[in-house]
Amino acid sequence: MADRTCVIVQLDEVWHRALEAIRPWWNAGLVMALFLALSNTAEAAEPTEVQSFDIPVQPLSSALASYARQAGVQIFFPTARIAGRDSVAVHGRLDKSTALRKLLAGTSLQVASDDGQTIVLRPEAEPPRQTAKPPRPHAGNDAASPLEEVIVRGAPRAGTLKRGNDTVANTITELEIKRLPNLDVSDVIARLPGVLRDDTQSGEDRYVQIRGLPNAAASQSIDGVLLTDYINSSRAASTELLPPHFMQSMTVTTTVTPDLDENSNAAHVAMSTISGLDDEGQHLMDIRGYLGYNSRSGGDRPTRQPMRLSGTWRGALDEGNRFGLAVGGELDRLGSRQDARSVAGYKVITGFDVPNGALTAGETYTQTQRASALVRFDARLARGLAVFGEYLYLQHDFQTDQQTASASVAAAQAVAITATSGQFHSAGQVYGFNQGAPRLHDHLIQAGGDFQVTGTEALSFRLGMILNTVRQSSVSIDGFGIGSSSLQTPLRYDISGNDIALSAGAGDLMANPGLYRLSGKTIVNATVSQDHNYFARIDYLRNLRLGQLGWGFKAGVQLKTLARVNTQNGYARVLAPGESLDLAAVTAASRVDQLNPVSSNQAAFLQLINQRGIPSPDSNGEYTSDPADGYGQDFTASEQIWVGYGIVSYGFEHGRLSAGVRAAHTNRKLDQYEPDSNGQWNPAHYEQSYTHALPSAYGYQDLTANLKLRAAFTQTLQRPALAGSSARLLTSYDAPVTRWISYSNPYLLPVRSTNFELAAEYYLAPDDAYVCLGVFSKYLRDISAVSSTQSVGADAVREIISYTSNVTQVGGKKVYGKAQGIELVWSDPKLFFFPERFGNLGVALGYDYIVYRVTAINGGSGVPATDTRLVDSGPRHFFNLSMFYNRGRFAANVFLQALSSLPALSYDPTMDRRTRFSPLLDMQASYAITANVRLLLEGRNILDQSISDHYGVTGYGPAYQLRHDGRTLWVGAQVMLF
Amino acid sequence: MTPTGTDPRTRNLEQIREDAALWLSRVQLGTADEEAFARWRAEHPAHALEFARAFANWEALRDAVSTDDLRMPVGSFTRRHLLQLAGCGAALAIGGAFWVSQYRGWTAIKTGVGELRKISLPDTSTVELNTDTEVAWRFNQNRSVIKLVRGEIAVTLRTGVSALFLSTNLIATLLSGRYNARCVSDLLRLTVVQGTALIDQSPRAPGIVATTGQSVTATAGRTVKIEAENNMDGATAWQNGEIVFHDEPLVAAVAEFNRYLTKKIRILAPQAQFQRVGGRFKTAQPQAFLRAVSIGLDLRTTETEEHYLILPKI
Repeated sequence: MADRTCVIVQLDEVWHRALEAIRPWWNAGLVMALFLALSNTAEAAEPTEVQSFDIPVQPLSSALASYARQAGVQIFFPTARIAGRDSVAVHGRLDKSTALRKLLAGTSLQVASDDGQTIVLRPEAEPPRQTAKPPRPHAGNDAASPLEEVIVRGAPRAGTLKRGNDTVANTITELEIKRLPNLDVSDVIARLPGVLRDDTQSGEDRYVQIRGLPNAAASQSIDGVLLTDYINSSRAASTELLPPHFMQSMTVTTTVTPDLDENSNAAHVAMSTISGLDDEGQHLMDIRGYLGYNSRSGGDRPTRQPMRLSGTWRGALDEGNRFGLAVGGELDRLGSRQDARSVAGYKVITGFDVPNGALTAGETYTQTQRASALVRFDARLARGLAVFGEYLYLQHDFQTDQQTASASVAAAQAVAITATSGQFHSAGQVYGFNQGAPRLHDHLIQAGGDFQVTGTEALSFRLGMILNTVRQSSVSIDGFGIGSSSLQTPLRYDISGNDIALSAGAGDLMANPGLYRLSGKTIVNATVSQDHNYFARIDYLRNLRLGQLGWGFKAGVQLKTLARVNTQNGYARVLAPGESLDLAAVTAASRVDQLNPVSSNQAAFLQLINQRGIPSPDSNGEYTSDPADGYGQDFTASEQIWVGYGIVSYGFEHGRLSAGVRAAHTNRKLDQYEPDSNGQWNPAHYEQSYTHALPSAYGYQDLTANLKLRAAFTQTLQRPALAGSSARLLTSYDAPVTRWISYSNPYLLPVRSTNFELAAEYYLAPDDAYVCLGVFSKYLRDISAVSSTQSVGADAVREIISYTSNVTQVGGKKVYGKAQGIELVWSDPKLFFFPERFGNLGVALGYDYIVYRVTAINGGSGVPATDTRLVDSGPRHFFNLSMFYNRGRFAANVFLQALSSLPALSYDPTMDRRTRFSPLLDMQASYAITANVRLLLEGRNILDQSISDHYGVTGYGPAYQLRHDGRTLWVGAQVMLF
Repeated sequence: MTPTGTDPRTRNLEQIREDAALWLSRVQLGTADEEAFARWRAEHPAHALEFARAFANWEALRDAVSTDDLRMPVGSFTRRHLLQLAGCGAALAIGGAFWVSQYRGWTAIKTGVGELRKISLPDTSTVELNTDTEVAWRFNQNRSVIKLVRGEIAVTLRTGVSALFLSTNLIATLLSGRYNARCVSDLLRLTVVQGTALIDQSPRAPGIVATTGQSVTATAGRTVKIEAENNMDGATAWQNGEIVFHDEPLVAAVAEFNRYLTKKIRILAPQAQFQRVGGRFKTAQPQAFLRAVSIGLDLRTTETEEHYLILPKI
């Protein structure tokens, strides 16, 4: 796409400019309003009879005894259901009942009697064991079902976890996870503020981008073990494989502490799985089954209709709750069809934008099947000593079949041109297909132990092994085409706003599939990568828990290894001289119509191309043209990282200050094949080592009983993927309309980020509600700058050739990235102003305004860079809203996400691209038939979100590509046994 | 030679032993700077080990020294000398009798059930006796010797004062600080609330040391175990007339309460005996405890002339 320029009305830019103008005033007003509201509320909430409490974190039983001593009362409580549970810290001047309420928040104990001298506590409701009679939802909280009641009782809620964190973090718990139609863990994370959902055509989230940074800039862990189920060429963990129902909570820490993974320029996502000892061994079975219907009937071939089945069971294995077991399984099959229309480019003719090049209609059929299983065993071996072992099996088969029909037009031949329409009386035709089928299989084996040595000392260890196999196969062709032919019925285009509609033309010579001939190269990709990744860590902490006063410290050592063997079994063919292959030989269609893709028999095609084609490269191992067809992908690579860290901390009555440093030594090895100047492929070996010292400092201060201020600073990394560096074709997975040829410097260094974050958090006890306002900044260096050239092939497939290297400066100009933003979060599970007679209404709202800009460089394809350009690299506005409603037997929850456009910008503005998303709406509604059975109705992408790519710098006019993934409705049932 | 914080890797073992001996002598004399001593011991495990060895040797030697080892000069013996000797003897006899009665003899003190007592020793140390406790003390070699026969005591030693603690199961030197010792059912538990206890296991074994926040448990066979005290609040609550139980079976909580009661509580609800409970109560208010048990565990209570009874709900 070389000659595109178009004049496009860019509402997004207008919005940006307007917001830029009012932003300082708006920000100042927002801060003032928040603090005024906070101070007024704080004054109103000040209790009249207060006294000093100083109760540090400790076993809850001890904390209640301390409370009684400080409050001057006697107390009695059964401990069976709070054994092994730590209290929160309670410090400051409070009245007795408030202090006790804080201690009891999230526990199963309630005040049964209080005569002013003696307080008696007892469980809120005895959970029946393995009976069909479930606990009744407690009227005093927002639980919508007996299951939610157990969840609320068994673990701290999101607000409590956020408040108890050492630094700035956002948490989502099992309660919120189960309330929305979450297909995988990526879905769940995307409900949090500042997270972009990165979905595939079948409607599942694959990765997420946190605060605009790439998906590989975040790291993930499960129960303290680093998650390393990467696919080839990426360092983003495949969180789309993880079932949401296996998770008890997920915490996203955006400015990480030294004990979290350092590969966290964007964030670290810490996941905790469900355990048999949750809620003191409460037996709980949750089974859900769904049948789905997607809005994609009427295509050239049937679209798979989705289904989901998930189940978990957890509970104690003995009366003493010393041993617990959690098992789970999930199976889902998804299918969808993405319909897309794209225009390769425009030319200005008589003052108007006129399409030029390939006008393409595409249908991409996707189908996914995921199967997963969890077994987790927990044991409390002695007082203060708990160990666990768990195994996760994860499988993901993803298949995409894309078929396209393109009409190639020349703008100069357009007639009847107006500002919004025109037509063509001749066009070339190309029919193509691409097919990809990644299959991922993971085995995660993990174990760990936590030992509370004394009241202030704790020791923990984690061990993990991930066996990860990724098989990727794909077939791509340049297409079957005929040259330009005349149309009796002209091809029309109509521009409406940012969209363009295409009306197919017709011609006598176009309908016969036998006239369309295969051209170019056929690439069959078959890659197998096998990973053996190991992880070990040991941590010791002393006097470092929330509420513990005085000096404390934490130290630990980690070993993280990755090893990958990547084998390419693919091949490439070009037709032998004198041979041909026509479309009629591979399609069952008797005729073809313009802009109407046809399906093809790919097995028959492969048989024919193998008969009539010749290898490329030839028998001498040399290519006649572009070598990037996958032969370069054989490689073995490994990475070994030693990390040691130490944190020194001082806890004072109303806060804590911590500082630490981590040292990370990395050793990487790469053996691969790469072409010499003659096009001959030879083995090459690379080895590099580097060490980083990454400081951190963070702290918080409780200004009042409700208001907490935080500040954090840390340095982090984003290591490059474990991948071959020689040129290779990457079969598209996310966007099949793009062909991506990539190569890189084999000695890529990690991108380093210096991160700052400030936050003011106001907690509205006792409903776990909070309001948080924060600002953050990231400065990235050693940034791996990408030189890229882009073009649109004759088959209408966009092709990007990119070269990635660490560039610190070009022509004296620094190469860097900078992200700065503001984040507002409001979460209230039970809105006080919503009339109780109408039920319960809760809300979780997140808004982020982020300016994320990086330096783009020119050059590429062997041409050295000579200049830089600062470009946007992430959406500016993130708006997430979740609402939770329940009344009696009925519950309904919705999630709405609105984003500004996602830029993909490079040095050359004519190659800029912005992807614009219309609002995304998900919902879940349920009705309790009995106490154990609920009917469920879920909808994903209910608005059939339109995703449009806008290409070029001059106004981003009619969409380069407009696509819809389709909406899905699910009907299901949930069975709960207690 | 001054005990300092020099890196032990650069110093030889003999030097450390000399330092340990010097510290031991200062501890024995009560002239040690407690903080400096603690710092020195914490500097390196070798310091603690050598001090423990020096202490054990000292304890062994003290038992081995007899009056036979004292060599007196032999001189002429005259009447004057005899008179002087008689006078001195009389004075010694009178003074000695007084001294023995005051210091060398054991003074026994007891408390009844539900009674608390606090006594001061000649070195201004204090011993508090919990319910149903018997203790004996004497002043020997310029320090207190405290023997716990049964029950529970709290010992507070002012700065510069040490004491020898004796029980059937354990012998320990307590440096200045606060301690709680409880001897119930042949099980002795010595808790170091604050300070250092030097445990004498046997004449030939090196001594071991318990410090602030640790408890030493010794059985009748003198098996000694040191561990962190996770319930310091519970161990010392009795001094305020309170009882604290953490995650204990009801039967254990009741047994603890009964130590303070002449009219005992009995559990006649078998299914409730092993329900685990926690709480904090005034030892003088059993009715409040019983009422709380009835509400918290859904039981009922009643009272006879001899007992308080905990019963299943009808």
